[in-house]
Amino acid sequence: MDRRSFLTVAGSAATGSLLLPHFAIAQAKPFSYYSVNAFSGNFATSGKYSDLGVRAAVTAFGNRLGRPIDYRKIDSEGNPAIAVRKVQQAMDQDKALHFGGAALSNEALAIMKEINKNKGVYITYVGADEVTGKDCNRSTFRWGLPTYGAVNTVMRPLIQQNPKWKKVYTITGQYVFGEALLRNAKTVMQETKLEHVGNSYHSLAEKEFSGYLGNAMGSGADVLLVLNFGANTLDLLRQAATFGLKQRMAVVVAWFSGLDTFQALGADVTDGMYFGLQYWHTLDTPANKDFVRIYKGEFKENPRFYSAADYQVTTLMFDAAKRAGSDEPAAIVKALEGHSYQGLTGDEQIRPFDHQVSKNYLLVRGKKKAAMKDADDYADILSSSRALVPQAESDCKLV
Amino acid sequence: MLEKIKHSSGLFCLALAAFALAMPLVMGSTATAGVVLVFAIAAAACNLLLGYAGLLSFAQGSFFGVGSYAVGMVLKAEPGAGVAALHVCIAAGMVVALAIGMLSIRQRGIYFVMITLAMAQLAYFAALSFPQFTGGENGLLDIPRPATGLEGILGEGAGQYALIAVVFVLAIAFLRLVVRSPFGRALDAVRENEVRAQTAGYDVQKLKLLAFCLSGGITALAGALYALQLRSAPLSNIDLMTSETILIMAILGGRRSLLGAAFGALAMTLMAEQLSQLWPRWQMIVGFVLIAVVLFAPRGLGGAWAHWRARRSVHAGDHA
Amino acid sequence: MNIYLFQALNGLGVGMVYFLLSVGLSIIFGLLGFVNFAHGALFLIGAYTAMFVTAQTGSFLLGLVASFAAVAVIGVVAERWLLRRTYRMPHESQILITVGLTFILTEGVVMIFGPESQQVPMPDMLAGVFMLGAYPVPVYRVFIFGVCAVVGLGLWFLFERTLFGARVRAGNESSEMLNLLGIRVSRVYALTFALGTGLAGLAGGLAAPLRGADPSMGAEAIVIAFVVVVLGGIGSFSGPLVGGLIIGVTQSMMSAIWPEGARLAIFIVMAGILLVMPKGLFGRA
Repeated sequence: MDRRSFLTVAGSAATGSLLLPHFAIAQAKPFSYYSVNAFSGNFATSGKYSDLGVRAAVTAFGNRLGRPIDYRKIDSEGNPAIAVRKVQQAMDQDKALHFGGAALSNEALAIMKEINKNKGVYITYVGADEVTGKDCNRSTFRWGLPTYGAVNTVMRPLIQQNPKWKKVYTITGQYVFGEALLRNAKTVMQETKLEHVGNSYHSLAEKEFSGYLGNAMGSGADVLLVLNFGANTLDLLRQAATFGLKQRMAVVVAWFSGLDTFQALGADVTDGMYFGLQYWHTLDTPANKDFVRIYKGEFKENPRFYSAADYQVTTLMFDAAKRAGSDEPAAIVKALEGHSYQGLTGDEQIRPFDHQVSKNYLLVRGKKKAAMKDADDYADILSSSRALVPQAESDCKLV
Repeated sequence: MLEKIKHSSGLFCLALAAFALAMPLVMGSTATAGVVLVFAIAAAACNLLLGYAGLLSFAQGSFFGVGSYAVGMVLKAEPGAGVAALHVCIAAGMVVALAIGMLSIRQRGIYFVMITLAMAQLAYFAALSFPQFTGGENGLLDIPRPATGLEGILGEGAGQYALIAVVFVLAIAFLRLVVRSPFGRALDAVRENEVRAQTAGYDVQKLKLLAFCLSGGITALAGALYALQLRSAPLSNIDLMTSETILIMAILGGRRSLLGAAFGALAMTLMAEQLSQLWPRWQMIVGFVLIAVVLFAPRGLGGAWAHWRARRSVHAGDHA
Repeated sequence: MNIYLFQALNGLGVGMVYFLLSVGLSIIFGLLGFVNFAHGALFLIGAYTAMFVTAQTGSFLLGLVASFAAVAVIGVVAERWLLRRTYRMPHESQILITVGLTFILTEGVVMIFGPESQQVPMPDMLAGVFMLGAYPVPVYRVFIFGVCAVVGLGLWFLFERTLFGARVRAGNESSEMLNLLGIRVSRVYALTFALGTGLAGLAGGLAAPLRGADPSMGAEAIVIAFVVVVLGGIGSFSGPLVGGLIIGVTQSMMSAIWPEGARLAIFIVMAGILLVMPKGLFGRA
């Protein structure tokens, strides 16, 4: 090649490469959304369904943001320390700003601090009161009623419907969450003039509940109120069923996951028991009908709580970004505060002073196996209502 | 070169420093690099017990957790305490190790292992039972990082990492000093044949107890650094899984190799980091790797490296 | 009949499952000096096998048999191809390799069945309750007690009255001696492994209707197994029996006396006994 052609080629190549970055910038920057959950380890169930929920939300939102959505997963492995470190890494290395999810309260509580420090935005659905209570911060929102709502919306309607109930026995997990449930339950019992005949605490790692069930049965109570979560609840209820406890007293479970835990127990166990749920797939609201249609279309099964929760929080995030017209977390936070919308449980609002979503909590009763219309028809919804800590009594004052 | 490292502490410290400097580049962020160094310290402290004192302890997580909680409690009460809080954590770790040690040391073999496991469970339940101190299942949150004066130059993340890196070099260099001291040689004697050591006049119980305390203090230090990195002290720091992880890293690296412990920590963290992004069932791959290491590199990464080096020098000698 | 007696009876039932879970570990450790950290994962596989076979065939009995058989096969295969190579290695290598095996087995189960907690329906025949005074005793727990008692008797007979048992006991004392006597040590090992692991699997199958099948079963089982073995004394047969019963009864009684500490009490009891009897209740020097 002679010198002239060489210079021409070199010149055009140089000019071209100068133009390239401009060309890249002209293309839309994707919206990066980081879903934190346990995809491996002991709580992998949570991650499995959470993933499906986020994917459904991404599909449903389509192109309304005007650019591609980059859905990234952060595997906490069920360990809050790992969750925090990975969130730090994502914010540090990838400049991550938009987060959702968490398998457990301890993960959410730990990462919400990091996200707030680095000025991100985070929507979660875990149960610990502190998330929108004493540990609340500007960056964090929560969809899902904490213990006050769970206990009140489950106990009060039931007590009204069952005037014959006089005595209550509680089995409580001896950890922060269990204590919170018990505190709220005691207030309700005081106000409704029920006699709290006894309480058994059990530890987080407990597997053998026969003793506590024996205590309950010997107490003469009309109602057994179950105040724990996760594997504790499952083991307790399974063993309660083998002891024939249901025949002697009503069983009320304040905090229950939903379809996955019903399946883990089976209708023979759950028949006749009362459960409090954040979500149930037969909820008759326009938003839920849409969601279930989309979800079933993609995954051919009914959605579990984690899927629904992740779908809801992910959609809230995308929607807020769209309304704010910006990726900036501060703008998204502003767009979320005070927002009213049609949520999965009906009319929902995001309270500005504690970033807690006001939504409905369900009281359901387990059905007999013979009465189930399909394999997932475990329960009938008895009531859908809400109860939230009023602003004056809240530990959180963001406004 | 490894021979040189083994024989010269200056080069050893240089190797440690190089490791610490390389980590952020290898792992991609100071947060994850910090985690590698933290667990390297804990694994090396475990090596002191395992490879030198001959004690397989399942209680390392207890010391790790105690260190985390201690730094959290001190700094939340007294944010100005700064780096001095770390001294409190070392002391706390040594005290807990003394307590656990006094109850466990008299046992031998698998019985010792089991007693430490029981103690570890005791510590876990103690942490759960006193939420006013430990935060219960939510852990201690909002732990303030101490100001190291480097934040202005390096930025907060890197400043924190610098602290961890310095402690890492100091801690492992210290451990190396210990294992090469007469105390270390006494531990070797105890490990090889306890009865003979006893008849030779060594106070075996005291030696083991001292090793236990040193290991506990340094593991607590690691736990404290971890809590500073995370700005929180979760319950998981004191659970059995943490003890298991530290032990695996120590064995993987080679039970007598302090530098190997660092590589054991690196290997496990790297595997978890990379594999968990690819496949939710990634722990299965880790299982295969562990088995492969036991079958093909029974003396761990450190041992395999030394073995390969030795063979190469033999062959080099052949061609001379 | 008061609550404490009721709890003690419950504890005996739980304790028998612990016995079944732990006796294999004790024998394997006693005979081979091998620390099997995969024992909990075998319990897990037993539970899932029982669940699967019961669901496929409708027969819980078949499920139980399968839980023993499947895990025994896994045990023998693992011993022959993998674990045998580590007998001469130090304990920590054995721990590392069995931890690796645990990861593989557990993740394998999750790959096939998913991470969810699954129910294992109780056979109708055993689902009832009979009253002992004011306290209901589930039939299933009595069934478990019965099965474990029968197995226990069978094991006693095997170890005390048969040639195989004599060989195992001899091997416990000195495996070289076995070799010198011309007995195929590898076969004794393989059969012992099959028996020991199979029993853990059976324990898993029995426990499944009570606690369901979920991936975290293994981690919790291994801790209990080791506690019982060490408490009872390694290598013995009566050790896991008495140890299991003590742990079971302690756990149940504590949930009436000191509920928050019921789990903790197990470890306190173990530590306490080891302080007084450093080799466990029936351990050999």
